[in-house]
Amino acid sequence: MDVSGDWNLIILPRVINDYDLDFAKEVMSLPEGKTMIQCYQCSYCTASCPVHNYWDERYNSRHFIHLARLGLIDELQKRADVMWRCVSCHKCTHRCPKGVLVEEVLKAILKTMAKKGLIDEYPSKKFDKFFTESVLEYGRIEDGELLFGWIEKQGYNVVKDPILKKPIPFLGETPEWLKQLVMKPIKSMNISFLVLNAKHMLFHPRTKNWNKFKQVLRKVVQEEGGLT
Amino acid sequence: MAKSVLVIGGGPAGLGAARILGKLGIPTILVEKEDRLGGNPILNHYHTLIPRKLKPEQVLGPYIKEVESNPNVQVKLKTELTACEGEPGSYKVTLSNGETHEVGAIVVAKGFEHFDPRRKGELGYGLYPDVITNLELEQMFSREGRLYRPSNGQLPKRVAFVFCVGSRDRQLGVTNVHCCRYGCALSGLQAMEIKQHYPDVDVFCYYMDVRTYGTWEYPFYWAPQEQYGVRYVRGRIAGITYSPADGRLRVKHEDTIVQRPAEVPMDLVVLVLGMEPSAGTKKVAKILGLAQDPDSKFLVPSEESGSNIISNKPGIFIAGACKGPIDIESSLAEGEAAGAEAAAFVGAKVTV
Amino acid sequence: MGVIGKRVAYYPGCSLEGATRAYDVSTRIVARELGLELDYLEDYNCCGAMESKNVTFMGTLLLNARNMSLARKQGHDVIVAPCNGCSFSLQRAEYFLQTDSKIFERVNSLLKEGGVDLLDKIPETYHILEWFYHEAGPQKVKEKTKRPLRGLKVANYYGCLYTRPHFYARTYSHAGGQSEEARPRRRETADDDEHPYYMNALFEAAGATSVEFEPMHTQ
Repeated sequence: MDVSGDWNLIILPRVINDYDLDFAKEVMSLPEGKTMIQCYQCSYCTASCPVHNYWDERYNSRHFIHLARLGLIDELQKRADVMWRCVSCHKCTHRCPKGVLVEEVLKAILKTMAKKGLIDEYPSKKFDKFFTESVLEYGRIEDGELLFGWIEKQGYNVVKDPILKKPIPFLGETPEWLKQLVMKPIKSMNISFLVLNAKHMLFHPRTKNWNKFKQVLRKVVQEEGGLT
Repeated sequence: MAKSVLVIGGGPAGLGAARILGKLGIPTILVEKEDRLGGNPILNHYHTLIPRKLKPEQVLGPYIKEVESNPNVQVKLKTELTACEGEPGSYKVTLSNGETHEVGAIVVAKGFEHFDPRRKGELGYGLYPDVITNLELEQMFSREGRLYRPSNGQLPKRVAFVFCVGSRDRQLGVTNVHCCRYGCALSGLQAMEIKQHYPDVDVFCYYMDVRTYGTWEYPFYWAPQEQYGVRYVRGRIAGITYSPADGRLRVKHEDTIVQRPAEVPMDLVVLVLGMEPSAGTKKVAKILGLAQDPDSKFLVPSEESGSNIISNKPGIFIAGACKGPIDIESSLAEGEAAGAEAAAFVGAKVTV
Repeated sequence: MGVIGKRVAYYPGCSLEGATRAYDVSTRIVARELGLELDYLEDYNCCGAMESKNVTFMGTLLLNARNMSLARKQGHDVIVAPCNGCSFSLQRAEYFLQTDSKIFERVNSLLKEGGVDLLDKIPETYHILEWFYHEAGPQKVKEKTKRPLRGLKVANYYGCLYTRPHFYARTYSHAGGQSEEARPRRRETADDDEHPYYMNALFEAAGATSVEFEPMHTQ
């Protein structure tokens, strides 16, 4: 009698029974996913990829392209926890001998997975959405507000000013890494810049003539389902 | 007057040789065992030839016409070489029709044979009607002009090409370890032809490597993928089975990139056949004492010569697929080179 | 020298008016001293950076097309951006607008809908280093330097998007890569893609010493 439990492995479905070719079709129907078809699996992209090299070898752009092209959904889903880890350094796209826009294709794959409900909302997307919301609202972003707004979203207890209800930097809870990251440049910063930054945080810089354009942008984003 | 030259084989290489010999005014005897000239491309009804995508009639038609109409060339159909005696420069040859001739030089162009896929039982050829060879696919195109599943006559939704059937395979013995050289490119071409006429058919190529060497890379490897969306999957097909439930075939392989076993449904499976030296090549090698590769039995050129059309016997030249897989345009060119060499050997004086 | 133009549209981007204000101030001063003219892009909007591009394709294109339209309105064919992310975003937009006429048409109709001038022509975007290097060059920098940075050791960090990907912008029409023009080609004024040196050259011209920093300077 097998007491190791290993025999159970044998009944797990390992055989690929079919391809989901509609998935690839959908990826390639996106303008940024079009070039996926050109890949010949040389792995120049993966060999250049810092995420693959220095973080986790399961992040493998070439492999994702292969899986997406054949529509091996379960394999893609197995890697859902690492697939969003791209840092957009564009070494892959830059070096691809076949002219595949690898970085864009990977994003197209992620978008398609999200659209089909094959992946939960991944951490990077949360920030992407937060950032894009800010752009859509004001036309411009403000570094400080973005940063501390995000920190607030992460569950830190930030202190807000009573009138405009905007987070005040470093007064409330602040992650240790951020303190270290910011304190050094701030010490050497011209005081007038600090004043300007504070002003910007309170009064978010806006693009004028933005409202009409904003409506169109929102419509387009909604069509693509980007913020859902 | 210069002595005559015997050309053995009426395929592309033999036609190339006979054509140039006739043009140079050398009395030439062309023997062909079948009842017409043209060799495999004509006799087996190839559809489109790599790499220039021409029809066999377009390429070989003018050669056949020229050879048949040149008074210097005697074409002897349904004839084979049976014996050869004598010295270089004056070979006494006996033909199967009883004739004997004295010739100054011989061009051997006995060609190749397609691998018989029945020898790979796991691929189910002969067992499942929807497993066909790439030769049969060519004939399906050239004779019937449409794509269908032999089992029910309907258009397949998915077609798989299985590369290297009868090539690079030690299980078949040492005879089939070489690469067929044409298979990758022809599969790319056939896949594109399918997609051109039936864009909705999904085409898969199961490969170990894709050897569309030299300038063939773009037209026969990149173009099928980039322009027609043909999918390449790395993994050798280890077996083909049939599912009575849905009437489709299953191609069994490991997707080596995913590292998972796969049994994927297909409607039509095309086996990409390897090349073997023809029985005639082996027979002629024995009669003439030509050197053969100990494994594949293809003819091998002289060790002293840099050119691959010079055989180990003075006055005997070898051209085309009898010395290894080769494409048709190169076969023609080799035949012409061998013909010219033979002409020089028998002392032709050519003035410009 | 002098292939890009001495007077260009200046797209600082959000960060240069916020946290990296110092970069903006020095960029303007350096340009002025080198006899180049930066024409501030009035009422620009965010380029969208990587984040919005990951969320919305057409939206990001629109953001950049609006900035391009502003540049055209101010009479420019060339936009210069000092931020790697911004110059990337503009070049990427340029790439898609130029290689796909359907996308171009859609963007134009959406611009119209949003009350923005149509793009009659797609302006080209250059990184500020490229512009300084080609319009002024190390020699001019040397001449104009008042207080040389003698003794200052500089590690020139170019970042990811300064040279990559090299064919976003006016040199590549993709659509499957069949024709001759479809092959990726480098922009002629672009820095060496794997071993950039424009910043090294400009700093050295100003008297600083570049320290050995490869291969990290583009990581």
